[in-house]
Amino acid sequence: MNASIKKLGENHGSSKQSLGRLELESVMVRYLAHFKTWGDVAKNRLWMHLELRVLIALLIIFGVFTSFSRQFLGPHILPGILLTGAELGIIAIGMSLLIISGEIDLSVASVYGWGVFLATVPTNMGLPFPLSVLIALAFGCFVGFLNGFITVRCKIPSFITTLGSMWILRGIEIGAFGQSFISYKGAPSLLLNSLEGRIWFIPRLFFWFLGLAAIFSIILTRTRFGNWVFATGGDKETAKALGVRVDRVKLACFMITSTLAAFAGVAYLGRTKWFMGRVGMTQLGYGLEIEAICIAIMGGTSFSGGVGSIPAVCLAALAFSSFRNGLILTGVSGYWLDAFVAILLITFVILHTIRKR
Amino acid sequence: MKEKIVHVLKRGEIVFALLFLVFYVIFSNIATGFFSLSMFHIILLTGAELGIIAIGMSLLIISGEIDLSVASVFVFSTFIALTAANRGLPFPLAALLALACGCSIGFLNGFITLRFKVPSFIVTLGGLLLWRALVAGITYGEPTFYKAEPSLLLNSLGGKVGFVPALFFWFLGLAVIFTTTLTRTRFGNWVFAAGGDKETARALGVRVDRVKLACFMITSTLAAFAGVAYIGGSSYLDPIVATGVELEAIASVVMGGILFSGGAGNLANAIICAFILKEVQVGMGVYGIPVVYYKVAIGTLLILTVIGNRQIMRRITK
Repeated sequence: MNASIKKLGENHGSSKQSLGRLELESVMVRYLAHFKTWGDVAKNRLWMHLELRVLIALLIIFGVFTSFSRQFLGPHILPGILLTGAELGIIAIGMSLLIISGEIDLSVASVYGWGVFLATVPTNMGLPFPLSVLIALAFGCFVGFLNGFITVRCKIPSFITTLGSMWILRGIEIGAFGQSFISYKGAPSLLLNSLEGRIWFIPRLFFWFLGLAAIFSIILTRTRFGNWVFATGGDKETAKALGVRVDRVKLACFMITSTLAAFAGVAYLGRTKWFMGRVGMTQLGYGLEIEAICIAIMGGTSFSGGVGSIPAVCLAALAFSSFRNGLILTGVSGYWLDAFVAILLITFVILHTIRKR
Repeated sequence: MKEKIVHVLKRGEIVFALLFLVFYVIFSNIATGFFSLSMFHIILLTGAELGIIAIGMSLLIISGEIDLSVASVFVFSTFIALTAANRGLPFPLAALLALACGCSIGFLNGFITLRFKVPSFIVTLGGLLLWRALVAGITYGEPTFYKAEPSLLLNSLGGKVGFVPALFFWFLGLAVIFTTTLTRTRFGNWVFAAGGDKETARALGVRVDRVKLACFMITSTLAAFAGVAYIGGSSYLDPIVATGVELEAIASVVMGGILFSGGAGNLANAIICAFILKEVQVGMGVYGIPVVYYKVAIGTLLILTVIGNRQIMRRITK
């Protein structure tokens, strides 16, 4: 089959004067000529795109859980899925940006916790809410700068640097705020309003998430900076030789990641107005870094750097949150959750490696 | 003279031992009650537990891989040993079963990592979530109690000789065995080669994948051993026990100057650092600083030591 198609494709391709319809046909034929059999066509067509792969997985998860319970797409579960998906997704966007650039950040959960407190405490003291949000974001940015600076300047693996900052930030946070209940007492504000509540069944935060996803997707694929990020993670030496300031790019990625984590913390206020730094063993945003890394991996981000896609990561965030919410809905005990998440993670990894091999 | 100093600094054991002493002196001065045999006993006990895990972690990091699942394997193997003993298996057999479990988990980690070329970080991240959740799911988060007869092996793990915990001797034995293996045998050489320059090692005939697989298995087995030893000290297992120990082990390994990218390092330093971490924890507890600040302290210590290591190494290798 392939020889004849190839021939056809060549014939059509050579005739420059052909009509639109014929041109389209020739493109299709030439496209199909790449594959040996029709089975090959289906396989490669489906598995070619990272986004498509994750989307199919997401649809399968939706299908399975909807068949378990009609409630899954109902008005009580779906908004929750979108909300947690948005929150995790915002952090995972930053995380995958950083992983693409060849580094990692374990401190996002601690920065998240700080984001919650820094948005609340100054507001309670009388500062306008947008200003305290700025403080929280600036704090995140600063932590990212420190992480990046130590990593890049002292040539310490980012795993170690951010492990240290994760411990330090978490410890101070619990020490400072952990023992008392804190409730948000500020005046209602337009910004806070845009983080809470929902439009129809879609939480407002989800639109923030979509906006951020669009922005970072465009930055990564359409701007010079995005190109630098891929170059830095892909082949550092070549990038350096071509004049990319690798260290600055990494530093910027660190700062973006931490700022996004702090923003996700601010967005937590859209969900509840009172919280505690620590309730028993459960801390604010506990284990979030692991979830964010899981989502980045599920979104096909390569751990050796240089490969990844923001839309795929966003779909993976939705897949993650729908999987977890679905499990709870079907009555799986909370203690089992992590085991299923591990299985989900491994399934996705297999999904992505099939294509590579 | 200068060469001698450089030599000592390069090896590092003396520097880290001095660091341990400095912390000991500081805490003895500021925290009343720290300078006592009972506190030293606690440092030795918790340090030995972390040290056993850190030995395996060092081996694995030197070979160029990482294992995030050690704490979960710890809990899982403890659970296996407890359940098997409670079902009537003699304790030594139950312990053996737990070790075998650990070994096979290590094999699984290594096999997936090496056969499917998935980074060990991802594979063992899955393990980190999976094994602990299995225990929590089976027990519904309730503690599991040891109900079987006391046994000689259990006593040898949990008892003490004078003020020195028995586990410390086990630890010393393991430390000696693995230090010798790393520095004096062919296998140790292979481990360094596999982590340092994989292609060269392969060209020289080292079976890199098998060496790494062996390191994975050793790491998980040691974690399982630490888990079995845990039963000696405590009669029950809570599924949340040892949360985050994998990070502490990695921290002590890296503080000890073992390169995170693999191929270089000194096992003894990593072990001493494990004890330093636990010493700081005990010292802070005795001094009355809230437990939460322990993490602040070890985070700071980690970053400072790693930066310091790097600077010193750069100075003396110039």
